Amino acid sequence: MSALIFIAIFGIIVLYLGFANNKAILAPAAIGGLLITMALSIKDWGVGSKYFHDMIVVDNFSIAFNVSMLIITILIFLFGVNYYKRMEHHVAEQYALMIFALTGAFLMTSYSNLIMLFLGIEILSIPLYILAGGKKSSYRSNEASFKYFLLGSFSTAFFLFGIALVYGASSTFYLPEINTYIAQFNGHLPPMLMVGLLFILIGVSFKVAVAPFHFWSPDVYEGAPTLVTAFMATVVKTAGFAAFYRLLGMGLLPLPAALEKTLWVMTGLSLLVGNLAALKQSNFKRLLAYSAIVHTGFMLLAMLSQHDSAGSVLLYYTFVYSLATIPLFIIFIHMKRSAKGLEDLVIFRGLYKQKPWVAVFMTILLMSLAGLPPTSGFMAKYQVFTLAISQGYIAITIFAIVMAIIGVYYYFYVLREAFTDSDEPNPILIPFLNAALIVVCGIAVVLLGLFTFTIPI
Amino acid sequence: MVALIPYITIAWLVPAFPLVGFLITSLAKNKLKHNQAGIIASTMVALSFITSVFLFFILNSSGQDSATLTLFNWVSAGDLKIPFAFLIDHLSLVMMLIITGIGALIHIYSIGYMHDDERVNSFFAQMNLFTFSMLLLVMGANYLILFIGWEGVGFCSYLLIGFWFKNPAFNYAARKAFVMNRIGDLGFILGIIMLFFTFKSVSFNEVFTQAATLQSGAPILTLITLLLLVGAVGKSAQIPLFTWLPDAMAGPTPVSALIHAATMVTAGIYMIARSSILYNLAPITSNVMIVLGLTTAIITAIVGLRQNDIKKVLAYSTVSQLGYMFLALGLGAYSAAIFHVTTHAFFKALLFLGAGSIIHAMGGEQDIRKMGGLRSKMPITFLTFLIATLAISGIPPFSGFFSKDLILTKAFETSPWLYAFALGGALITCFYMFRLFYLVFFGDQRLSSAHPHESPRVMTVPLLVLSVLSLFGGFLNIPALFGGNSGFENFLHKAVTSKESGEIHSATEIGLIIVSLSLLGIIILLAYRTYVKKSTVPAADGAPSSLIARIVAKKFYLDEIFAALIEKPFGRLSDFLFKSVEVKVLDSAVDGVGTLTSRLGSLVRRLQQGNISFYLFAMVAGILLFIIFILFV
Amino acid sequence: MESSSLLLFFLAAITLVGAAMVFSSYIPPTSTNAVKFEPYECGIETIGDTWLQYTVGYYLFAILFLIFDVETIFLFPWAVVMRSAGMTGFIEILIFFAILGLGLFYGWKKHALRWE
Repeated sequence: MSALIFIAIFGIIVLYLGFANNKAILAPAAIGGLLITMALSIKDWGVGSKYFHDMIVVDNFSIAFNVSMLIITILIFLFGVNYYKRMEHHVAEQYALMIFALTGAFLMTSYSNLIMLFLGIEILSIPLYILAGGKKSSYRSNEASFKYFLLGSFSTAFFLFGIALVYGASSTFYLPEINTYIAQFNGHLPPMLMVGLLFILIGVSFKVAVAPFHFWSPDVYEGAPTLVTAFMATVVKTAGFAAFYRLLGMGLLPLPAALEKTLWVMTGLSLLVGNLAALKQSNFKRLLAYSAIVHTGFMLLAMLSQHDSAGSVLLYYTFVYSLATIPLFIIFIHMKRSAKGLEDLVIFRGLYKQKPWVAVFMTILLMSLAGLPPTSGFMAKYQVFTLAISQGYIAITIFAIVMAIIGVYYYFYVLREAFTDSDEPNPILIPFLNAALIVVCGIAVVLLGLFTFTIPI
Repeated sequence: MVALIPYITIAWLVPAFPLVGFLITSLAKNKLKHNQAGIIASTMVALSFITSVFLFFILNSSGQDSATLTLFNWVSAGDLKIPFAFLIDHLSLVMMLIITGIGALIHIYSIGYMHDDERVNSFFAQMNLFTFSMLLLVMGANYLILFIGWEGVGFCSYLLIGFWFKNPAFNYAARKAFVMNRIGDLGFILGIIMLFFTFKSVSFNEVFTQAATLQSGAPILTLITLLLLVGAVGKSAQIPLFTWLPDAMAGPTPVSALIHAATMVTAGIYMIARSSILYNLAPITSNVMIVLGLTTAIITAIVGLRQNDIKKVLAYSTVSQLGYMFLALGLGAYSAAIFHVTTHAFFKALLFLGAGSIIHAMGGEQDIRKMGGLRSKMPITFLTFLIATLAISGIPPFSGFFSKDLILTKAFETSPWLYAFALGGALITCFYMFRLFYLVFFGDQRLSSAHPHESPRVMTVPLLVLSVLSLFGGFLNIPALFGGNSGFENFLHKAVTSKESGEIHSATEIGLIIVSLSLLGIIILLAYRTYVKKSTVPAADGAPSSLIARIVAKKFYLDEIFAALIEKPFGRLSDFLFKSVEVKVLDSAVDGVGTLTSRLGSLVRRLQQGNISFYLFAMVAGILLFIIFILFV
Repeated sequence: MESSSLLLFFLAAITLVGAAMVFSSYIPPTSTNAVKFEPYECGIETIGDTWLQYTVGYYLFAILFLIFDVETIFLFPWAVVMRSAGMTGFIEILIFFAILGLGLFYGWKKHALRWE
């Protein structure tokens, strides 16, 4: 709890640090604050307490996810040191907005009341709308911001409508009470409750870009500044899935048959749509957006299994996915700079020739995303599949495995470019800090595959 | 099960050192100057050796038989829980000491031997990787880690045989070794899977505890042991999978010494000795091993008689000695087999390194018909080679005598016939070894172009160390007959369960030794008469010779039989599969799937046009469909 | 059954809306001529791009206004229960003010109050 309060106040402090006119202190200060937040979070490990009339529950689940998101945000801030070097104005705001978004993410991991979930989602989303439009002079960035805002508001409306319907039926916002209320119907829910729950699910699905509510994500991923895209692809996704899992675990289990089928369809659709669209993608950021949709499908599969250990599997999955994604964006931004702003896959050409070790790490990272051993991406997918099979979801798992195999194609397509020689090589410059990030993440991706962790949550 | 012994945890350092060496030498491949890679690699293996020695004393002073060191939980899926653990007991310690001790000597030797090679850094990287894999193999506490090491050494062996990859014949040899090992590995992995299905575990401790409750001769045990045996036959080059080993001599000579004589090829022996509890309960498999081992020992010894390449002779003798080890395994004398592994590691490494020294001196010449008279030119090599030759021939008090005699005695306990055949093989071994020895070191120098010289000290010192080991290594296990206490066997007794065998009278035993020694003496004299007195030089390759000689020279046509039995039918099958099944059916199907997916991809991509009204429409349509779905379906 | 009544509701809604749209296109008198398509207002045709940029200054002021607006909305209920809320309530409302004040101060420092 102290972590939540601290990070909220800390966001304001960073915002005011901007007046100091010293860009150099921003990233260290922000990272320091996040480290303090992490310490405060870990302090509560194993305690399990409730606040604000039980609207917020701080338990191991929320702490584990919060710490995971903090680590990822720290990596992104380290990336920011070089990324924001050229930016003159409003750098503090960028950091502050991300910290505010993180505050929302914290709420999303530790709510037990639908109002808190709503607040969390909004506190997460509104900074993101602004961040997506961070490049004020770029049409694409403005467009991304606007689209995200419009579609986001739309889904929020559905989400609120859903909460209202559920409240109308059960006269409570509390997940445990909703759970007992649902239980009395023995699977045959009244339509109002059913539609309400569906709307809530859709509201959360939108945030994590589940097909068919994914349409915003490729456009926004492409238009938003790369660092923000990295933030959205990792932290926001982690928070969304934590919220999703909490919603199911605390409120909806055992899933009513109709909702289970809905999730089933969403899983299949995400895997299919993401993969098919990624196959024909030539823009790297859009490619990662579609790949993110596919990964969403895999994580939904873990959720679908409704097993107790799904939370731990999701934590592992989101964490290693984030670890592989951030350095890829870092590599991408340097390739983009050397190619004078192009974002196509061809910009990776000549990488192996000039910076062979980067190409090697890129191979590891893409292998992890594709789910090939010995990387942690493989172990993550493997855990999801065993979980789903153990709960009897055979057909969808087989489908998912086929989809995972198709996915290898487009990841290796990127690799092929990286190992092809360029016709007109431009010098690729990678500053030390970013190089270190790539190396550390790459090694972590392999090590986490060898030493898989499970957290009792 | 086992209380933790203080300081036993340093065991993880043993494989860690070569791994670090591998990482350094491979990553800094382009930075390291001439000798640096070799020094780093040798130091790492030497450090491993020192750690192993420490472990030896730690385990001995603890009074316990074994210790399991779990590093982390590795695989955890459903029923399958496999920790990444090391098992430190007397068996694995013996192997670790051999691998790191002899490995360190060979690494040092290689600094001199590989001095002029341009890819010397890669060589040491691969050697270190091999040492690491081999240590994993012997230290693993379950079959899966053993298997990883098993595959690792196979892979390194492949790399190192084909080290001089510019020669296509060497590449072919590497591929042959790899493929033959694959055949064996298939059996091995099937065996591990069967083990898991039977015992729900692959950990040595659990498997053996459970297996001990099974009845002797249980069909499932016979099946498992036979499958594991297939793996061992491949790796340890027994009939019918032995032909890769002589070809493997294409690699640099230190590789032959380390991998194809001292360590990797004994992996199969180690694995069977490790599984001794299973094999004790499978008499059928034991009989198969006796037949296989004895046949291999004799046939390859005969083939060795006609070889003229110095390394090929040694290779065939390795296969032959491995045959003796299999014979010992089949007889249930597991500790005798491991003892022979140990002494064989000493003298065969010495022989190979000596051969390397000779080849080095002769400027790359490997044909013994072109050598001769090297005795005075290379005194140290001559002396050490002599010791090794005496050791392999089984002359007391050299190490080979004790280990071979142990196996022969065990054979006699089972059946005099076995003894007779085994002794015959040993006599042939003695003959071709002395043939080699006399041809190389006596007589006149037959190749005028070469200017032989003694090798540098970095090569001769390992030779001297190894010759001391070959000389006195046998005293590790002095039988009761000579007033000893069979120390080595008792030491291993805690780790492997040898079969009880009937005692034979000490008078009989002495009689047997006298018989075999006098026969060996005759053989040595015979060889001396032929190759020194008459200075016979084996005929050139194309010269006419008798049918039997031709058969022997052609290695009993085993390669050709292999080609006819396996390669041709498989070639035809793969031709058929390629031309009909693959191209016509699979390719078009795969292409079809690919095209279809790609078309669908374009379709899906077309949905995403950036038009926000369409997105909203799609979202609402999706929501409506889901509402209808949950309410009415 | 409840769900069938919902279906009925959907059907009724779709039919009614559809009917209204269909009828409205048939019932009124229609006439098309060139004059009808001319711009309304003052009858001047537009020159150049019709996408004009408006200054966002209005929105900034509107948002800043919101700060005071929300402040007042919360002040009234607090004023009603001020005595019963006691010291705790007083401190909480001060924190609330402080947060809004920080927001206002931030806007001020960023020159959001300056009309340009």
